Amino acid sequence: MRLTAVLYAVLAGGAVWADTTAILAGRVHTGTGEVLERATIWVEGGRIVRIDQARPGPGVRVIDHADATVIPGFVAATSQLGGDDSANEESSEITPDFRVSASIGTSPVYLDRAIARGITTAFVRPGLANVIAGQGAVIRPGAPPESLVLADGLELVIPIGPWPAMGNTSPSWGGIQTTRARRPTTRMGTVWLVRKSFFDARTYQLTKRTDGLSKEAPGSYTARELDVLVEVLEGKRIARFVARADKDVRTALRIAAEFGIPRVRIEGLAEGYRGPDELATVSEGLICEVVASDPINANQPLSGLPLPVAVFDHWLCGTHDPLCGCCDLLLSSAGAPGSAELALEGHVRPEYGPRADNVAVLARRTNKLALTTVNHTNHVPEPLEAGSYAIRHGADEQAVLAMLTRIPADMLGLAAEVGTIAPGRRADLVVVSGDPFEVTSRILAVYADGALRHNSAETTR
Amino acid sequence: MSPSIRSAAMLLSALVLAGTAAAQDVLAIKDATIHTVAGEPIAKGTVLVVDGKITAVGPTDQVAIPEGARVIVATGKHLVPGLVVAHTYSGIDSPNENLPVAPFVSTVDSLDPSSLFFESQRREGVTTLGIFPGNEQPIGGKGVAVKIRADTVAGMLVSKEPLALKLSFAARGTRMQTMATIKKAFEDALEARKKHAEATTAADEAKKKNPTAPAPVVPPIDFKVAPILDLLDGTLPCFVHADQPGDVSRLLELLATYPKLKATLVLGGSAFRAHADIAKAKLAVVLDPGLEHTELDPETVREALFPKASVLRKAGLDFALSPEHASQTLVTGHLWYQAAIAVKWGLPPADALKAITLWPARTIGLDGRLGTIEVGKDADLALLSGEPFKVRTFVERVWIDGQPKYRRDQDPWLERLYYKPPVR
Repeated sequence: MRLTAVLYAVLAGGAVWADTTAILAGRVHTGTGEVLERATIWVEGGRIVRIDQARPGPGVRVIDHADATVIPGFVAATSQLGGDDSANEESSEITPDFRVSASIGTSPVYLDRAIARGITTAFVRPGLANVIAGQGAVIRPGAPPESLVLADGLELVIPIGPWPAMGNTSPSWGGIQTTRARRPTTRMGTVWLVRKSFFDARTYQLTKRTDGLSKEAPGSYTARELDVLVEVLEGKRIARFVARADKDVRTALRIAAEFGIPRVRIEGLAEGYRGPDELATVSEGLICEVVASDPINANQPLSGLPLPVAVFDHWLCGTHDPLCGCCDLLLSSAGAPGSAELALEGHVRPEYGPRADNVAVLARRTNKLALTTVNHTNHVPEPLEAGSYAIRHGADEQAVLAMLTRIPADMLGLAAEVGTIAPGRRADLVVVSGDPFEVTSRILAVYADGALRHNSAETTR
Repeated sequence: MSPSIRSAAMLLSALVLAGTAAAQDVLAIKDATIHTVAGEPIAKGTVLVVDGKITAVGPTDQVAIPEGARVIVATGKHLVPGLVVAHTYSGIDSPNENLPVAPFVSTVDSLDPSSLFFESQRREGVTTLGIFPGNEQPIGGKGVAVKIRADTVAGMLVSKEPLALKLSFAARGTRMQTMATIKKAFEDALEARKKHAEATTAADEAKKKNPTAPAPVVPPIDFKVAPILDLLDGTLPCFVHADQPGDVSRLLELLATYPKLKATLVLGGSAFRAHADIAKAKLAVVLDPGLEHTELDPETVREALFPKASVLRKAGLDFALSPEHASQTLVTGHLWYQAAIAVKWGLPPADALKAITLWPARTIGLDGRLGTIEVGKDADLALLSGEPFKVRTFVERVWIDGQPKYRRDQDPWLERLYYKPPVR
């Protein structure tokens, strides 16, 4: 990367320029579907002023990326960029007023990794271990610590799947529920607790009283917690259901319909190609995960299962944990007694399971689709990898770029701020060595608010 | 009939008989961009295959296609040698035996031709693999080379001879224990040979003294120990898994003590950092999957990235790349993807292609037959829909020994992998 003029950006300090800077780009993908050749991006005060083909005159600070392609900084529609602390509260399954922002550390490693992958804005959510998990936040990786959290207390994350029940064991009959020995221990228990929470919220909405209402999860409600649930019922807060399997997505939609929840978003959708049709009308849009590579446990042998599903080892959770029940697969090692029978019992019918063209199929049905990756090694999404994968298996390139930038920005209410290279937006730019979604291209530099936050030449040995 | 006409008739019938006596299987792949890996790509070339061997490669106008040949017109497509994986421990039932020293076992006995691993590798252009034991034993067992061309072990095996013995310096337990175990196994083997030699000498002397008495029985060297003697004699090479730079030093020490040992390094973790020593010792190298190595600088708490392939190349080394173990078809980790990552970080594409064809073939001693598209080599070929390493490029066809072994347009798995299988 050539920087032909003095840079006033300070990596750690993140100074924002007041003067005008001209960034020369060989090609610009604006995120709106437009591709500009040999363009100049004019930046002032950390914001994009205009994009044209004028050449900067003398006296203007110039950053030369004329050999490279510039795309908007990625907006991660979901992530768990906590790092420092666990985002899975264990004291109770129902924690509507817990905000993940408290557990977002300033541990530089995860935020650095996010920036190195071009993520300049990210929605962070709690983990999936609780039934009503709490609220998310939007952060700015690469920003100085005081400007890290851009917006807080967002949405209400509700996992619908096996995760809240995982790790719970049954309390003895009638016994006290504790951290581990408590409900739910099944999906039906999970869904019951979700419905109970909204039912209790409705009761509270009418009576304005918390006495007589018990979480059973364990604990009793505070007014604050019930207020959050009421906000969801009244459409003042988005309910973000995290559901990966087809059955869980349908359950989420059923719950939303049952309680008339006005604003619904669905994240996950590993079997999204299966529908249902109303996915296209989910009011706040869809976030589709692509299963990214998982370097941990890469030597888990695909043994014993003679069936097609063996190819998709743990596609639902990506953990490769043989004890994980989430994919309804029973992986047994070859030679274990009865392994063939066990293997047959637990398998998924061929009409189900992940599909390589899941994103392409969903994209044909709705425009309100954001893209992300499931990466359980370090919780850092891999936008380019997700995009390459989606494009390889049939999705349109400009549509995919939008799914990683403009559309999630829109979903998070930040369309005026981020997600496109357009006048007025923050100068969040990712400089790529070639076609962004070719595996052979790499990120050369990342700018956030007009400041250089990642320089590949510096960090590559 | 006049004598000249008679002899002409005899000549003609002899020629006809010669033509029909040995029917040849002839395949011609025409008008592809051929990446021979033995020189510059041929822009519009033709490959001729007779009975499983390449008999001609060149620009189309310079290769005559005989009558009766199966002709595949491959205009706009790219032909590469079938990809070669030098080292993997997938495709067998379980990679590690529950013994620290087990040189007498061989992966040939736990190969699973039905494994979806093989099916999925071939879909991505791999034709030959070196299947080895895992990394948990100090001395594992023997590895063998297979081609993904049959549903039986015998059909898949490239040779009955083992490729190499597998050693791992990152075995279960401490490194102190691992190195001690290995050295003890070596010394025990040499001791067993010494004892056998002494017993044989003693038996011969006894026989001389007393020719009429029954000859004393000299038990043979324990078969369990024999492969280690082969290793120390240099007749059986070894592949050594190394996880840390210090493992490379330890291997060099071992080589100094046992000079006939022939070793190939399988570099995992941070072992690639010892590239200077590896280059100096001219060791052959296989790179484990995962080419973007990151290290946290404790002072700045920032991550530095080491692109392993570029680092090794700058040190002057050739190396074989590896796919991720038991690669899932949907997910990144295939050999072409590893090569593309290497190109991403600066490895010239021609070298990246070598790292998945010729260099791994050489590493497993099969470069006389595999790894390039050259006359005389096995016709193991992969036809790509477009340029190598591009995200929209797929493997359309695979031939092994000139036989068609894969066609994407007839791949039944696409029904399972796609909701709407691509129309070809």
